[in-house]
Amino acid sequence: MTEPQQANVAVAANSLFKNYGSVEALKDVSLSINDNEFFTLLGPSGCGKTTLLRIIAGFEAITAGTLFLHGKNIADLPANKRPVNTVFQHYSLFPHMSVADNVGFGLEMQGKDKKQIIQRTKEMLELVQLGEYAQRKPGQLSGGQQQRVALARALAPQPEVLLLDEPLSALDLKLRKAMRLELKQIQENAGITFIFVTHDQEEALTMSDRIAVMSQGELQQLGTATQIYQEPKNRFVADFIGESNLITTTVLNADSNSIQCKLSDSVSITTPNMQGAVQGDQGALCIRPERIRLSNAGENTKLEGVVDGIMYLGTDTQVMLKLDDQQTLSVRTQNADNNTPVVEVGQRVGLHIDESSCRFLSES
Amino acid sequence: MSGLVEKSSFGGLRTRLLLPAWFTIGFFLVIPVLTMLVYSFLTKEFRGGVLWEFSLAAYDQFFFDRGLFGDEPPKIEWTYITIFWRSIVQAAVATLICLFIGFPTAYFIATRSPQTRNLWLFLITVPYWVNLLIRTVSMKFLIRDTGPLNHWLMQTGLIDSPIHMINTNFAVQLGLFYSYLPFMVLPIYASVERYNFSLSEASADLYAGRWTTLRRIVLPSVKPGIIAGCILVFVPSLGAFLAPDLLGGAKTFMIGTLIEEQFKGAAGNWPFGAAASMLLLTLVMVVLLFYARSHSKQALHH
Repeated sequence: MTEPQQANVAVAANSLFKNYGSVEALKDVSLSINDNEFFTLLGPSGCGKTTLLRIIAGFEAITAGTLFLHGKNIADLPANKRPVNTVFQHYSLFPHMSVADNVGFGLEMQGKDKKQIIQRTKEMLELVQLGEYAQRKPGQLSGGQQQRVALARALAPQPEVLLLDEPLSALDLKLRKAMRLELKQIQENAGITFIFVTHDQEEALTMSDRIAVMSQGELQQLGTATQIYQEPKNRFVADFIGESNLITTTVLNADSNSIQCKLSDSVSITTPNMQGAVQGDQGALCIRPERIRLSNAGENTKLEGVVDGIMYLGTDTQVMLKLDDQQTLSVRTQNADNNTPVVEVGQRVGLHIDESSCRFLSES
Repeated sequence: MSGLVEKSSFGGLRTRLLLPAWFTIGFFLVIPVLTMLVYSFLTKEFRGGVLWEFSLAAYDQFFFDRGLFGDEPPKIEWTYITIFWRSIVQAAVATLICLFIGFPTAYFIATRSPQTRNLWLFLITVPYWVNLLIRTVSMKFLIRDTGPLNHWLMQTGLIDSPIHMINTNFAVQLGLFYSYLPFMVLPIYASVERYNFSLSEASADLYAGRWTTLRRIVLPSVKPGIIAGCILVFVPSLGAFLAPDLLGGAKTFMIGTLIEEQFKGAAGNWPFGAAASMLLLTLVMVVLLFYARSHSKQALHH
């Protein structure tokens, strides 16, 4: 991260700060994005992900920090001089121009000759399967088609980095899922770095090579989908990505390899010591609902609880449990799994927690 | 479809609710214009007013010169056509000046924060709380040879002797510009305010500079506002009589003044004034129809 000159780094941001008056939109954000990477900025609205994207595009100036694109300082370069293109959230297609003119606009501004523009525009429209719509106006297209035009328009000038600002958020669920695959394919074929902004964790997990989780203007964690899901760094990430039972806990015993965390007065959980916790540390224990197995009560169980609620979710069933000390736990059981007993509300069941998958998240 | 439904269930109510609108259009638009049309074909009465006898004399007088006693072979009468032509040029120039100053003004206001926008709009309309006649007379006072403007220019040493501004085309332009600028600013403001500025960002993102973005993206998007503003300035400028009358002289005589004089005092000629009004109305309608035609053709083409 400290070496923006490194050849395979596309975008390197160092200690970025952005203030709007007294509001801090970005606080000391540093990250580097590799060439040909599908990189996602994930976080709830207002977390600063869009601000970061707009800074890379050149629509916003940075308050402090440095920004490099392929080793070149671009912090002071205006948007129209940056070899970066954007797919806007609401597409922002030029309504008075035809689809072909929209796609060719960037090429025209780059000063390409007419023949080249026509050729490339045709290629791009074929790539997004809109060849026959070239002469239509954007207003005559459906949302999904407009989205493709926006993508073709941004890809046409062959940018070094493509920025996508929640491009799927305006589409319906089915189309959104189909577009995820298509986007990923286009990214792999084009060999361009994609920086994708979304608040949808499913989108982030399914498409990204790496994900940066942001909250309140700060980078919370950066890693692959698996890393972020399985090794959340803090309470926010554990809570935001997927579902988790976050139980306030104290470290009872600790050595360099494992720690013992208190779950209830009589039960403790032994997990790997990932963050170097010591005895007496306060924090949260993250237990993923699918890492708890149910059995009939009394069958050699360390922990028991009463079923408080059941939600049928198709492939899964979510069971809400109340432990003897009134602590609640959410459990997900696969409906295809025949080893799980069928439970009813009010029934007493045994719980088996996969302790090695639990994580202790210290409070600081 | 919807028309049928409305007719069956709300037909009676609809007619009654539309009555005030029909009354307004009829009483304030159709009847006055028809009156003018009828008067333009009547015979002039010498102390003003009309005689109820059909005559084409008013139109004949506008286009043909038949000598002092009306017995010579007709020649084309250029006096009034020249006045018309001059009016068109004056109105067009005033429209262009309003556009060049009004567009940046409107753009500036529309890009302020929502609270300050209202303040700017308020400031634009403040002068209109004072009667147009008083404002035009004040303008005359300001720019006359011994007025404050010349006085100030001489005091600062920019000029040695007063610049003669009154009774010139410049003065008339200034008057028209001052009278009709808000008619340009307000519709353009409404367009720019509705303009989606992320289109400008998209344009910059696709390597376009500021001027290219203005020309290729912003102007086409706010074109309806610009056209509305141009019509709202051009049409009243064409028929304006206060500014040309008070600030201009004999050389800047415009249609508005010509028509006004036909209805003022005993020297007037009502049928001639009515005929000139009808010709002006026709001219304006032709311009508007031409615009509407080209616009719908353009829409059809795309």
